[in-house]
Amino acid sequence: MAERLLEVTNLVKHFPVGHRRTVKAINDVSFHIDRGETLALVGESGSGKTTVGRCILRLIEPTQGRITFAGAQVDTMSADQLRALRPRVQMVFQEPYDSLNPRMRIRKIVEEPIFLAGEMTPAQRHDRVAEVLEMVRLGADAMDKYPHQFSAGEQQRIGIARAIATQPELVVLDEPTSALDVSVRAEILDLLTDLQEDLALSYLLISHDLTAVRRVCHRVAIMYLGKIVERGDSDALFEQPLHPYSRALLSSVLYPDPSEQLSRFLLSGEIPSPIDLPPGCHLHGRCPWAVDTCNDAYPDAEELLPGRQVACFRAREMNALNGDAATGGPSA
Amino acid sequence: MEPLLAVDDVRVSFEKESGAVAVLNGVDLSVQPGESIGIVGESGAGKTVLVRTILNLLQEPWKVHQGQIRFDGEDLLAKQEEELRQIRGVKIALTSPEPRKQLNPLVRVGEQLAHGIRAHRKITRKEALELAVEALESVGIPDPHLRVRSYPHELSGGMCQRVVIAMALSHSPKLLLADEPTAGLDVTIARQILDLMAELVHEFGSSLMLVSRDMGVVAHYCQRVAVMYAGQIVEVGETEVFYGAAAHPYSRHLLRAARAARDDRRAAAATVEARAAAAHGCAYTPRCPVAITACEQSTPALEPVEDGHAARCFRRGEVARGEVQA
Repeated sequence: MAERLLEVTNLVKHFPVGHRRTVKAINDVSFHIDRGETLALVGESGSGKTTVGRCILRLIEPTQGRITFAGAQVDTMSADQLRALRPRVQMVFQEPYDSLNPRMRIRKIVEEPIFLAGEMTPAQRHDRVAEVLEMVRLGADAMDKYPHQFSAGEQQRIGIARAIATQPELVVLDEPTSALDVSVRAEILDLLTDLQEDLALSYLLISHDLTAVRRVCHRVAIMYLGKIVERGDSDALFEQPLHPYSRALLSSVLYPDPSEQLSRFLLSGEIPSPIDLPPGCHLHGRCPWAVDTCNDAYPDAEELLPGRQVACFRAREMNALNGDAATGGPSA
Repeated sequence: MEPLLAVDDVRVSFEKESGAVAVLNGVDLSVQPGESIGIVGESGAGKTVLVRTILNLLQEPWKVHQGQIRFDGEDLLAKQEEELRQIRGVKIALTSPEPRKQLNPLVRVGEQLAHGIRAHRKITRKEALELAVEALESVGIPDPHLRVRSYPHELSGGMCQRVVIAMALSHSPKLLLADEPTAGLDVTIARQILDLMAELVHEFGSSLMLVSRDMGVVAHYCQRVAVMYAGQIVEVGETEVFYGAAAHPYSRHLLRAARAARDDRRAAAATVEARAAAAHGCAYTPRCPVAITACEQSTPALEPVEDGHAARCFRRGEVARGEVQA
């Protein structure tokens, strides 16, 4: 049995926005990540995926819910305890250039988290910076340059070097490739995969890009308006999505092959505002399967295939799964 | 058939104090009436500059050195500003990658649409506003009679893109230049916008030049594809032929990267050590896995592989037939 590294239970985050209104960014989200595993959190803008990532690091305070990292409860940690946690949980940000201080040399940028962890001498820190720059295939000569002297792909490598400098156990990757061109994107994903193998890292990969996610993650959780609508093993889920939102999301991906039939499983309309969440299932206004029940209550997640949780009243029936096919199995 | 648009050896540079930076290095491209062509390439390839050159929108420090752009029998680069105004937005329309920036944040979208309509038609403001409502309806905006009174910030990104498409098509242009129309949109919305655009372009019989970094979008929404690299068209061909038998190593590289995810393969096959490009050679030589000596000595021209399929590569035949691993 794999070791649980991170466990998130019933996480809620609401942002007050004045006039007694709140943005309901995360509405009761639970998932876990095992050691050495990559979980992808996939969703469109406004789904709450980035907010989940930030809550885990306590960059923003969760409204409710429990976050456990390697057995320690993160949501109640004091500032001192959090400081001790930082080297173990790191983050790579979406905008490579904006997340690097333009007035610092690369040496300083990558060294900063090690310096803050406070366990190395200056000489050790220098060696460590050189080492991680090698690991991300930039080379130690990068040290004395400034961020603007690098391409976007190289800047993202610097961001990754900074994240792995303290030998973290978990790295939250917030859209690490969405600002990059397609060929650079592939290089960064390959690099992340290699680093995971070499350093036994666990990743929480936050992305809206399904094509990027598929190759690198072990499990996927698909979010829509602050809820996880479906989760399960990556290959099986991509092969056969069961929730109507997952189906629509996957059929929106245009594969670069003109002979491939375009899927017509599309959603109508726009994503509703997280301030005025629709009653019942959040998708019902856009869903081709919606019936009256969907209007009244939010469906509970059900295990429809082994390891596959789906929150939809009609998924079993519409995917023509009979009761026997859903064997229950151990919970994922 | 006489092409609607013919771009012939266009060279554009960005003039800096420290010297000129060549951005378009001899672009040749034609667009037939009613056809949709995709322009693909990574950032910096010159896609957007090409679009702006076609509209003759470039100003200092941009400079068009050479070349001709013929549109509907007229030479666009030779036109005066006054004449261009009768073409831009009327015969050739543009949608930008950031629809919110293309709209004036202080003016209701209905007024903006009406203003564009009245610029070229002698009708009253009231009549123009009625046309604006119709235009919003035609691009699938719900409650168009209410939405004409909305400001851009009250609309989502997808809705803004719909408004921009409505504006672009309000004079039934012969050519629509769509620069990254889905760049900032969520995937479920992007498909809606692409379907809408394809449907309207077909309805008006317009030609579509779709600029995109997304190989998947072009595969499904364009009849022909042109690949740009370092300010040149390096390959052009029918969509089916191109995706089946790309003849330029760079096209192969783009396709491999785009397909890697689904195919569960590593994309970076043969990562080539970056070398400096030879002064006279093909610009792709430093990254090319199949470069030969000739590639460093002279620049290949855009030459046919077969009918209607051409590539700027000395080894285009071998690459297209898959005889060399490019």
